[in-house]
Amino acid sequence: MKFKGGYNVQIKGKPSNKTTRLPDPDLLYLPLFSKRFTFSAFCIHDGDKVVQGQILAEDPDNHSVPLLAPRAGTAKIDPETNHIVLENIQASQEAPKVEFELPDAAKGMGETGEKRCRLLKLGVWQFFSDAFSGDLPDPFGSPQAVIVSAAHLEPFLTSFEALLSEGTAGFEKGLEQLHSLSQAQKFYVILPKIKSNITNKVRDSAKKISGITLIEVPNKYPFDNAKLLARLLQLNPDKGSVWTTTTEGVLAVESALTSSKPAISRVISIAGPAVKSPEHIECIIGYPIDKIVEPYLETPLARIINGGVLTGDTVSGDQKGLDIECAGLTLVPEQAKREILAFAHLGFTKHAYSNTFLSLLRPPFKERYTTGVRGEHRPCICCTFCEEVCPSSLMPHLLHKYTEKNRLAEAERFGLNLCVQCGLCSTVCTSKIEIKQILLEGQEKLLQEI
Amino acid sequence: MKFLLDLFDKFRPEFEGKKGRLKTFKPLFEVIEFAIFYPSDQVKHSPHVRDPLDLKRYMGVVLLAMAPCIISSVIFFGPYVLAMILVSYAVGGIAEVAFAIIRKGEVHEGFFVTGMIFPLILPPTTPLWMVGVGILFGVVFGKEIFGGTGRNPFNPALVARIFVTVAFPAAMTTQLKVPFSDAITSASPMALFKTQGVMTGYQELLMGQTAGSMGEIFHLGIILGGIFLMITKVSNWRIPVSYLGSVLLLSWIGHNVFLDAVAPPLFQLLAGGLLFGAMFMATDPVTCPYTRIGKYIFGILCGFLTVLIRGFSGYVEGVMFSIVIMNAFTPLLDHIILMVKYKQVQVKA
Repeated sequence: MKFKGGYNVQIKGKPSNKTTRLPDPDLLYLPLFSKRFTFSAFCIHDGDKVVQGQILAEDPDNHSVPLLAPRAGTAKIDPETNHIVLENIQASQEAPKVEFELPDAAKGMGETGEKRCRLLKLGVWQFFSDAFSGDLPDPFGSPQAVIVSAAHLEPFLTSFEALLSEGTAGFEKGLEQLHSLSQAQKFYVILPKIKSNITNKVRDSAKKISGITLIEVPNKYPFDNAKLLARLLQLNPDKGSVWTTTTEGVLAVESALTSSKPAISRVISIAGPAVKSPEHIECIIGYPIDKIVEPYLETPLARIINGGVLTGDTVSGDQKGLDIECAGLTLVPEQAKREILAFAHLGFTKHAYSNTFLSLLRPPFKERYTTGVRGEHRPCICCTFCEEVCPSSLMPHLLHKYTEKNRLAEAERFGLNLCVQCGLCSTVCTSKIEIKQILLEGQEKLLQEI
Repeated sequence: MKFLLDLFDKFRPEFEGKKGRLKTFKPLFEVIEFAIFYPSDQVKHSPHVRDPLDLKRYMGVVLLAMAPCIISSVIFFGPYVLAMILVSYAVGGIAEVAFAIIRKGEVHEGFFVTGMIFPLILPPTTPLWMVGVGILFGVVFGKEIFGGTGRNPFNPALVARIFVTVAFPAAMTTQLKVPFSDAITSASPMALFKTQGVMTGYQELLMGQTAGSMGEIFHLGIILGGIFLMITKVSNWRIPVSYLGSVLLLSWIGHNVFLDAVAPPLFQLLAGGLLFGAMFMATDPVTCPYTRIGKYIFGILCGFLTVLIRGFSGYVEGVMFSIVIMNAFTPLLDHIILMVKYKQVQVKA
């Protein structure tokens, strides 16, 4: 495979591999929404007492992916804030008994169907997505391939080293189980080319299992991107879905199939330039975000991002608790001050894609970025930095012009659909153009046209 | 600096909104305010962090790369050079602000480079009014009528230079000076070669001790500045390398075939405005191709035209014409390359 572009933005605030387990809070706020899911089909009534692992609601548009009760307690549906609030919560040491009826699609699949159904009902299926569309794949479908991106390369998502710090046995077993139940012809484990004990162990685990192809990618963002990898692996979207998941997904598969444990807690990173001591935390779904963030916050004015710093979404005031898809909370200081004569700064503390600051002469370092635009919006001058970093070998400077002029046919011809929304083009743009957003809107318009 | 910020805050209402008495001059107010105090705008969409390089810094780096040329010009030809630069900025700046007011937009930074390049490619005796007329023509007809920065097909400084060359040919060719001398001459190294077959020494060429446009003669400084631009990634190495490479190759061939007409390669490189043009003008990202192959072709054809004009036309120098001619071909080059590149593409999401 030939990799082009990519860029590691050097931002201060990388999480350590240490994982702190957060004590249970008094209340849990379970959002009825996340990036892909909307849990609109309730399985309980307001005020019901629920047990740990019980299905509270399902997303009818996404193969009935469940929202599980992370703890036993009293569930209150709050339609105004779009949350289920869990009160009087109690932890249970025992794994809940999972009872479910096999859907028709799974009945003819025997044990595999039962296992896949279990993954769905135990909330594990939400760790999967289709490489091409990003949507939830059909749990009872036949994927043409499975891609396990072992490591997140986007700052500051949950690190696989933190997830596997206690050993890789679970990961290895999970890989085997996933390989067997997916029945896919092609099964890839993607690992960045880095040398560390855990990487070596993961490498060994993948090599041990026959039928699994280990692919080592440059340790550069965004070469863990499933859509990009599927294309580089020359997988054809017309030949069926490509399941993709991460290390966390593989571990959840192992827990669910070996010990019937529902995916009700997450190990997530809490990191970024506004965090005192960035690390990982283990907490349950619905944990109040303000309670998570408060002890870590270094600056009073910081943006809380659900996900990585390049593709995550700002946590809106409407979201009170941790949603089921969160892979990390990133805190970035909001730009408040106006820099004086910024263009004339020597730039010892600035980290740029170009070599236009004296920081070039420093040993490698990470900059304390803020949310500042750091300049004024200007017309594109075709500096082609966006093209250099684009992992899809596109010309974002050209695409954004066509898209803005609504000339979508040309934009499509020049590869608008191939954009993987990594955000590097917007990051390095000298004219401060929101290229990623413009291309995203263009892709959405194209979809509507179809 | 707080007092200054307070001052801007105090006067801003005068330049803003419907009721602002000076709202017409908002672009002028903003260009001054935002040059001193960057806006504190926050990113609205992901990615949530942005690179520190902006267009002000980008253009500032180009000016920094030209510093050896600017300083050497002042040392060689005295403070009159500063007056020329000042006039260029003042007149061009007024035109830039006027168009920003008409368009109700902002003043763009590209002008700071144009305003500096233009006087540097003029003879050191150019009357100040001529500098003003030239930059006005360049800014208006080379850039603003096309929509301003980012939309101009030609390098505005070169448009200005061609205008003054055509309008005032004598002043541009016969009013040259050798550094540290008041004697007026027309004997630039290229002219000497063309008319008398005399080749100026390489050391003199390198150190700028020859007659010519004031910023183009200190070739050592231009080389250093050009390399600096390439290292900083502000200029793309493909153009200078292909441009200079093709001049070297073609002049080597030409010199061996037409001995008297075509100067030898190293002389071609170090005489006239080739280095300045290849390092600072052909690399203008707006007017050169954005495709990588296009950049190579652009550079090679610039080199071809330069050697051709220098060797076989009535003009002694061909750099500005070759770059402007190739600027005109830039959209076509990019178009052809895109058509070839995306002919077979199967777009699948």
